[in-house]
Order: sequence, then structure tokens, then C-alpha cells
Amino acid sequence: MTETVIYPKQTMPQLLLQRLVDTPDAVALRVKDRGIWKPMTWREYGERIEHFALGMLELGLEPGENVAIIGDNWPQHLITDLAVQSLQGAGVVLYPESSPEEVAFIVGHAECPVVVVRDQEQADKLFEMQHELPGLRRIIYCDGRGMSLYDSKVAISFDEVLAMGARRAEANPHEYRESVERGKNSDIAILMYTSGTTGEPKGAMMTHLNVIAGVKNFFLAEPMKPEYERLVFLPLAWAGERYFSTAGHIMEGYRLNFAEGPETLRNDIREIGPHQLLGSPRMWEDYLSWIEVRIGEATWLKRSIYHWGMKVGQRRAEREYRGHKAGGWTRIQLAVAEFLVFRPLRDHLGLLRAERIYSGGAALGIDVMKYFHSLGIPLKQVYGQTEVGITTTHWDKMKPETMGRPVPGVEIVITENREIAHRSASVFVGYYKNQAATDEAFIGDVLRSGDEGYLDDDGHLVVVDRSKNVATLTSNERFSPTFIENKVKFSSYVREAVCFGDARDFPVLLINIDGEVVGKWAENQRIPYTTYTDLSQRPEVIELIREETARVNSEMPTFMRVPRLAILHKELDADDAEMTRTRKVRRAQVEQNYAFIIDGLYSDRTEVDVDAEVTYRDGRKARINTQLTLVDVPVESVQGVRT
Amino acid sequence: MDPSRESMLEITAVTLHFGGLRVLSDVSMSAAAGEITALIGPNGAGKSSLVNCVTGFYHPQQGNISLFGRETTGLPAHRVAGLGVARTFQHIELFEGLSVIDNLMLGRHRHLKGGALSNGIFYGRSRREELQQRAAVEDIVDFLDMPHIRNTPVGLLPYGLQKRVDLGRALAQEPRLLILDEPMAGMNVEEKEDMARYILELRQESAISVILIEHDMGVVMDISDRVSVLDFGRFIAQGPPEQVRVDPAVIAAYIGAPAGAVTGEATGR
Repeated sequence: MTETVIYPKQTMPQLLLQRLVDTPDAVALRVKDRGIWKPMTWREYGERIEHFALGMLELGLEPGENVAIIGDNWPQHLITDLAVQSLQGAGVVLYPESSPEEVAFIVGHAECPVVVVRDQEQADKLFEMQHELPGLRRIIYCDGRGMSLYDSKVAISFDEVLAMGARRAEANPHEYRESVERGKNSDIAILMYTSGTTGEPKGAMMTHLNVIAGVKNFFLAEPMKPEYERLVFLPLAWAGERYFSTAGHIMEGYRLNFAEGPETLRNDIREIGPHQLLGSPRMWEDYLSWIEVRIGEATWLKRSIYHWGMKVGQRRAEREYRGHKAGGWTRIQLAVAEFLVFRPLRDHLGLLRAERIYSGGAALGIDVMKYFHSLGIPLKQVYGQTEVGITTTHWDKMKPETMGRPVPGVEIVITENREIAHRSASVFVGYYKNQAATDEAFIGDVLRSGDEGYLDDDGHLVVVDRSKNVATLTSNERFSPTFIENKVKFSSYVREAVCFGDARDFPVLLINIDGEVVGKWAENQRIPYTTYTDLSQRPEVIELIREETARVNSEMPTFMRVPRLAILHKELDADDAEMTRTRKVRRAQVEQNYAFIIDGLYSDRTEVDVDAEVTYRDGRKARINTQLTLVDVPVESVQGVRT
Repeated sequence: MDPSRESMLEITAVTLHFGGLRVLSDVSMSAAAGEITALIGPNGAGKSSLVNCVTGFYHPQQGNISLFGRETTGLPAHRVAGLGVARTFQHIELFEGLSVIDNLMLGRHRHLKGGALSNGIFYGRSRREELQQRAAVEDIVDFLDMPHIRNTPVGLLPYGLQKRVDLGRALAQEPRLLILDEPMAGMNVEEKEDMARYILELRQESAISVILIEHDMGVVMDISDRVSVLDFGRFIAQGPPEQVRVDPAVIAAYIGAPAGAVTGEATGR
């Protein structure tokens, strides 16, 4: 049974008014612009929200209408979100990489008369699709560069709207407050379109209470302090990031920091030294390979010290999982390793002050997690879904193989189909204009997750895989393809791996090499190559991946060992629908696109011909014509396969 | 010439020779504010020499050059630069050991007013000035999408980015006439597209006049307002791209035989 948690009765804009009374002069957020971190106090933040809300009324927005937001993370997005909410509407944040068609679908479906875009790149998408969006009246842009070309009856700058709002506020100083006070916490606060690994996006409706409850539950387990620095890192279209940057921010009063742009993130993290950071598994994997590549280039002495230090760190991590204490000699070793290896590396990653560091959105490989624990970075996994927020994390103890324990206020139920289901005040109210999908999402009053899993003896949640992914071999043994994939992806040479094997004799893998890491490796080995495709099929690279997979095989139960694999000629890409915008693999699509390769893997053939057309973002097309080698990997005791 | 075009550069009957070698003979051209004028021609046609005459690096034996309505024939290079002429170089000319920011700051040199003494003390006006210059440089860093390499020494950057820094250094001078000497040479398609986008945005945002020397005909025909074709030190064609593209003299100069247009399409003349 879960503890009863009392939630605030207010809406987010109402809580914000309270925050403005409590700490008006504290810094609410910082943006790096023109190379300088520029602070904004709560008073300034609140004023902008007020002015923007009134400015949108001036533009003809009706209270209760939704407003969409597209672009790389920027404070204007949060200002818009809260301004719309203070008019009883809902903010809809889209992924910056969304295609024009995706943008048109969501803006049309959510019936947004106003869209806020960060720059011309996003505005272009809307103007391109304008003919399909009769309800779209205004496009508000934050960065005016290149916008003078557009119809000024539609496009207007963010600052202009603020100025219009400021004039209206002067004429009618109580209008904003009255509007905020009309809000109820059962109003829809945000619409989140799930990128979904299948089908059209669905708009999850979250009320103010849902969002506040989601954040409150999590902070009961993992409290935040007002002096914490938080980096707004993942796209705000991502539920967790949005929760921490709106409701969480207002309730706890920590500081948000916006990096200059995606390319400068690594540097900006170091400058901020965040206490809290939510990253995707992909990002942590990238960090790991980034370190490994640089260590590979270091001198012999540095490499040796690093490898020694990592061994010491791994032993410490393993001991901590078991709850054992370190002895005297080990403690001396640890102190030396801390000084020579851990601390410098944490410093390089910008994680010296890291206390609340999470990976979410998909399963993180156990080995990746252990790696960061060895460095003394308390990386925790979070589990949840768009429709309920974050529901579990390692708040009582670290167990790398689990997703952690449900946080207070959340009850996890395992249904008879081994499916994970949630009961909580943070569970959403339904999908916007999609009753059928809403009905499907619930069993009685619990929200289905579509994941298979169980609770272990510590009450920790173990997620096996997406229910539809769990594969059954012809030998009737069940396995999780994601588990195998994560094991293989731990290799810094492997960027992406997709495992298949349902109703087959054995599992097989499709692999994307990491072009950067393998490219460096090839240079060091003096292996010439031209393109990614060429590199991926070099015999030396195939041998490299074969060895990596053989190593993984040796750590797996016999039936989960992978005897055959193929290295793909191109990277999986969201534009080819092979991944979601959150970079989760769309398994069904990959299976469909590469069926001929998978069939080849289950045949006697040693090669398949690929003749594929790739379409670039700007519409140009190119043909890839190559032969893929089907690779045999050594395994013991798998029958019917040549080794 | 269309009288509504505000002329930035007028070259009248310029002739340049080195000893017995005649590099430019009786060359005339003009460039207007807000326009991109392409200067094309085979190797050795005299494109860079003409540009060097404009910037005051070479001094032609005959003819006149005037910039912004002012006679500049014979002025030394630093005086011409002071009038608002900036250029990039075919072979990148940057300080490899300095960061991107520092290279750009050097481009601000003509806007610095403080002397050695006051800048040495770095107090009062000198400090304010430094902040202003840095802000101007940061705007360029933002414009050219270079925040991630702001503090990287230029020598460590890949070639395409060095070209971009070179453009940034020229822009830092806040020129009214910008001369780009093969800005896209050696770049891949993506880098070329980026560069073309910056040049177009530049023209759109300010009344700057751009003279573009470039060999990539696709780029030249796409982004130029006017094209001037040099061959053996003489202009063989001048006009809008669509006209120059099918000019028989141009085709002959580029291909040697009147069989196809500059873009490679058959024209069936």
C-alpha cells in the first residue's frame, strides 16, 4: 500500500504567484547568450509570463485555447507554457527535429491558433504546411533572424507580444491575476504528444494536479534544494524535463540553466556544474565512449593509471551494491584513485557537484550504469511514462539491474499478463480527442504501461522489456531483446543494436557502428575507408564487432547468445521512421525495412545485396548500393549454426 | 547602369602589368549596395589581381578605382580597409595559434580607438570599448553558428570551419564592401550550402555589397545578382546570371568549344 501524499490545490500559475511573493529577487534561470550566462530573477520571469499572457489575448487568443511551442530549449518556451496555462489553455511542446508533417499533424490536432517558434528553421515548417492549418492565425518567433521575409500579418516577434502585453497590463493591472485565479487544478495544463514507437502521435492530457503530483511524489524520494543548479538538457517535449522545468522549478525554487545550443552542451555543463541532470541512455553511452576514445589516445602511463583506477572503482561499486564497507588498504587505494582518476574525469564531464543524476526514457545498460558508479557519479535510472510521469528510481539503494523502487504516492501493480501498471494521482486523464486509445490505456483504474516486469524482493521494479518486444524462441525460452542490445551497446564501437528472435531458433543482431569511434580506431590501425557504409563493411571492422559480440556472448545464458549478426550500411534515423524523436528504436519499422537482411541471417547465405535509396532532409536522394556481410559469431552449444 | 543602384565600387578602364606581363587590360566594372557580384573566369584570368587592385595591394598603371563615391586609386591597403573594405583569402590567412574569438577581435582593429597606454592600463573607456568590441564579435559568432568553437585555437579546426572563421574575421571589420576570394574552395556540399546561406543572409540583413570570386558555377549562378567573366585580363561578359550562362564567349572560355553552357547543359545553339 502506498503512503497518502497531500498535494497542493493550486494550479502551476497560482503556485508561481506564491513563488513571486516568496523569493522575488532570487535567480530563477540563466541563459547562455553570446557567451555569457545571463540571469533572470523570479520577478522578471513572472513579469514576462504575465505580459506574454496578456499579449496573446491582444493577438486574439481566447482563454482555454492551446498554444504550441517548437524549438531548441529556451526560456521563452517555459514563459509560453505558463502564460497559456494562466489563460486556462494547455501548452503543447514539440520536438525541435519534428518534420513539417509531424508539426502540422500535432498543431492541427491540438487546434492551436498560435504557435511559438524559436527561429526561422521552425517557422519554415509551419509556413510550408500553412495550407493544411486553417486554424493557425499567428506565429510568434523568438529569434528574428531571417524572419523579415515572412507575412507580417502572421509572424510577430516574441518581444513585440511582450510589449503589447505590458501596455495591456498597465491599462488593466488586475486582469492577469484574475485570470490565474479562475484556474482549477483539474484543468488541462499540458498536452504531451507521445512520439510513440508505433502509429500516429497521441496527445496525453495532464491536469495541473497530475503534473504537480508527479513532481511532488518524486521529490519526496529525491528532494531538491533551492540552491541546486539544474541544466535543462533533454528536449522540453520530454515529460520528465518539462515537469522539472515547470512545476518542480516553481515548487522548489532551484535554478534552471539553458545551454547555448546542442553543440555547446558538453562545455556548458562544465561551466554550470549542475547538481541535477536528467539524461537519456544514449547520452550516457556517448559520454562513456567519449572518455574511452580520449583515454585511447592518451599516453601509456595515463592509460595504465586510468585502467587501474577503474578497477578500484568497480570493486568499490560492487561492494556498495552488496552493502559492504571498504577495508583500510582499499580505502587508501580509493583515495589515490579519486585524486588521480575519478575527480579529474568527473570534472571533465562537468559532474563534480552532481547529486541528482538520472537516466530515463529507455533502459540503460547495466554496464554503463556501473561504469558511472565506478567514477563516483551516483547515476540512477528513472522509470515512468508520459501518461504518469516518473514513478520509480533508486532512492533507497543502488541496484543496477532494477529501475529502483516506486516513489511515495505511486502504486505499481503487476497485471496477470506480467504487465506493469500504475495507480497514482499523477495518472493522466486521457488522450485528447481519442477515447478509444484512452479506454485501451486503462484496466479499471490502473494505467497500463505496455512493459513487462516484476517487483523483486526489495520492492524494486525490474523491467524485462516492452511486452510486445519480449521474444520467445522455438525452444520456448523467453528473452528480452533490449537486454541483449544494451549488453552489446556497452561497447563504445557500437552505437545502436537491434535484436530479433521471436519464433526463431536463435537471436540475431543488426548493428550500427559508432562512426566517430570506429573511424578513429580505423585511423589508428591505418585502415583506409571512405564513407560510413564503406567503413561498416571493412573486414577489420567486422572482425572488431565480431569480437565484441563474442565477449558479450560469453557473459550470457546459452540460449541468449547471438550466433549471427549484420552491420548495417546506414545509421538508423528518425527521418526514416526507424527511430522516434527521443531516439528510441522503432523495432517493427526496422524489422520491416531490413527484413531481407534478417531473413539472410536465418539462412545459409554469407552476404546480402543492399540497394537502398536514402532521402536527405532537403529532399535530395542518393542510392546506396553495397553488399553486407553476414557475420558468424562464436558461441558454444548453439545447435544448427556453424561457428 | 540602373541609376537607382547605389554604387559601392566603380572600376574604370584599369590596366595592370608586371613588367612585360599584362594581367588586366582596360577592365571596368561596378558593384552596387545590397548586391552579390560574382567574378568568375578560368585560372590566371586576373580575378585575384583585380581584387588586389581594389584593396590597394596592387596599384594599376592606368585607370581609376573609386569606392563609395570616392577616388581610391593609389591609396595604400590600410587606408582602403579603413574605408570599409574587407576580404577573405583564397588560402586562409588566420592566426592559427589564436582562438576564434581572438582572431575575430583582431578584425575589429579599425574600430578600436584607445592607444597603447590606455589599453595597457585597461581602465575606463578602454574597458568599455573592449566590452563593445567583444559584443560585436559575439554577434558574429552567433550569426555564423560558431559558439561551440569560440575558444578553440583556429589551427585545430577543420578546413571548412577555418573558412568560416575567415569570413567572420572579415565581417568583424563591419565592411560596406566584402570581397570573398573562393570562399567555397575545397568544401563539401554541406559546407558550401552553409556558406551560401550566410552570404545570402548577410545581403538580406544589411546593405553590404559582396564581390564573390568562385569556381563553383552552381553556387555562382544560384546566389549572384550579377556575374562578370574575366578571361586573359579582359571582361568577356557582364550581366545577370541567366544571361551570362548562355553567352557564347563564356562557354568558349570555359569549355573551349561552343557545345554546352557553363552549367554543362546542352543549349543547342
